[in-house]
Amino acid sequence: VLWTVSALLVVLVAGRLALTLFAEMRTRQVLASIRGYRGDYSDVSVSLLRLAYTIDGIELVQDPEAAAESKARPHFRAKRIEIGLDWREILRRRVLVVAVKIEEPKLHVVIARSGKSRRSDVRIGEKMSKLSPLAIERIEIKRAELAFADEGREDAPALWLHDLDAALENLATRPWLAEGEPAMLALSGTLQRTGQVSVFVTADPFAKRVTFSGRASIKRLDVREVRSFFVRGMDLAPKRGTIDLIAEFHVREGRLRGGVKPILKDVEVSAAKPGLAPKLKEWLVEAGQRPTDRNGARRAAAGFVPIGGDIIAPDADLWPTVLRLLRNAFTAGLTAGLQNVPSPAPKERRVPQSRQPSPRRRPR
Amino acid sequence: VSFRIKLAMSLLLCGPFGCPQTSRGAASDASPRRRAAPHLATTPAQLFVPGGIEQIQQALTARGYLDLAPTTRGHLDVLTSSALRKFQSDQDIARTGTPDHETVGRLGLDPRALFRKSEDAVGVLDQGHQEYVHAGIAAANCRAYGTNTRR
Repeated sequence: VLWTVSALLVVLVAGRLALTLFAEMRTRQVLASIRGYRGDYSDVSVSLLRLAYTIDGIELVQDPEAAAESKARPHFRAKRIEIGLDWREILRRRVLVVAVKIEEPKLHVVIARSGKSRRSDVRIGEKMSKLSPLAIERIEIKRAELAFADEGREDAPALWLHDLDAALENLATRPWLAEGEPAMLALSGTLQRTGQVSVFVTADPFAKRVTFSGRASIKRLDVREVRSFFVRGMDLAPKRGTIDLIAEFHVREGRLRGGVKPILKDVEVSAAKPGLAPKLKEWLVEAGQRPTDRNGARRAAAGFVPIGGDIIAPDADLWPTVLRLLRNAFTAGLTAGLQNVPSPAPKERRVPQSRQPSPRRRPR
Repeated sequence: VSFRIKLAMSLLLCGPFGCPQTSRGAASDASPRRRAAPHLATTPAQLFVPGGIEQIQQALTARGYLDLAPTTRGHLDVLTSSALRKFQSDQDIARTGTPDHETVGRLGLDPRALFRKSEDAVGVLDQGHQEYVHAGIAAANCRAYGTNTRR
């Protein structure tokens, strides 16, 4: 028995070592084969028990030659990426069901002044049906960081999303693997230093063109952190206050329809440029939020801005298009929020006792 | 019986992982008339069957993460989202505040029963799996006889 156990242990250790070496070799090959990028990592390991492949300290940097030619210059690194297979599903349904965990990824994208935009083929469903049957059960991202900078526009602020946690579920390459449920993305994090970001999106990856619905919100964002949006959109410099932005969107076959609701709270601004027009705007914003109640609290300005159009034009580059869409929605919301002069706050109406809804029954 | 024979044949000819790369399999899977479009939602609550959110709230309460009294029953309100985020943090999974499949599973609930599916999802699932087996047999036959099934 002792000999058998020892032999089994030796075989397992040798198998694991061989697999790790093979995985390292394949990782180097794959990283070297990514066109226009240089890849590096600190460690690779394979777990036989969990059927998992782990890569630590991965980094992808664009080649200087490719970076000079392309419009978007991404730089990616992650502390750890783990890809695991569910062996029960392999035995039960003969299907590869994958779960991916990405820890502390950092993606920095610089939109260059010049360079060629690459055409994005967004026929996702068609592409996916050509892949082998595969279900990505879950992609989990923890403590991520995303930074965007636009070199082409000096007045565009760098956008910094951090402390991001995200979960993407139910992404399959066949409709029957999705089991009648949409792919789902849930995300939570911080924009700049103060804005609390929350995103929820459901998508149909098998539609001919991009199809998804969702809601995104930014709450309690200090207006001084997006100063350049104010300066460019309204010729105003923010002094204090916060903004909430709530967006709801439906994209069917690439056509976007939805709206953004900006809520400005206690915003104080000053004219950023000399002249009558900026002064008038400053006065309008101040007048719109002037305190009306006894305790001197300033009102919140809110409005609703419809958004729509083609989310992905046939000749568009994906990254700049998505970034432009986000920026336009934000600017439209912000401008509308500043222009909106709310009507005087209505007096609070008390519902008569008899008409109040009966209290909910609590469970025993 | 015939399904078992086909399954045995496909296992024998294609191995345990099957032979998914066939024109027939790909074409039939991509066919829009077979497919039941999933129900898209703008809020997480819309993804659940009636009473689903309430079950999640009860599971959170049973684990001491949520006080049911101030919450709106059956609604994914701020308190429920905060409780979910705390639970996700303790479970060392992504803290999104959204009840996803993983979170629902870790709360001891069955995600398959709680999440809404498109109406004919079950039919598509069975049909798809059988077609997958058929596709495996077709591909194996192609390899064996050197023919092409692409029409």
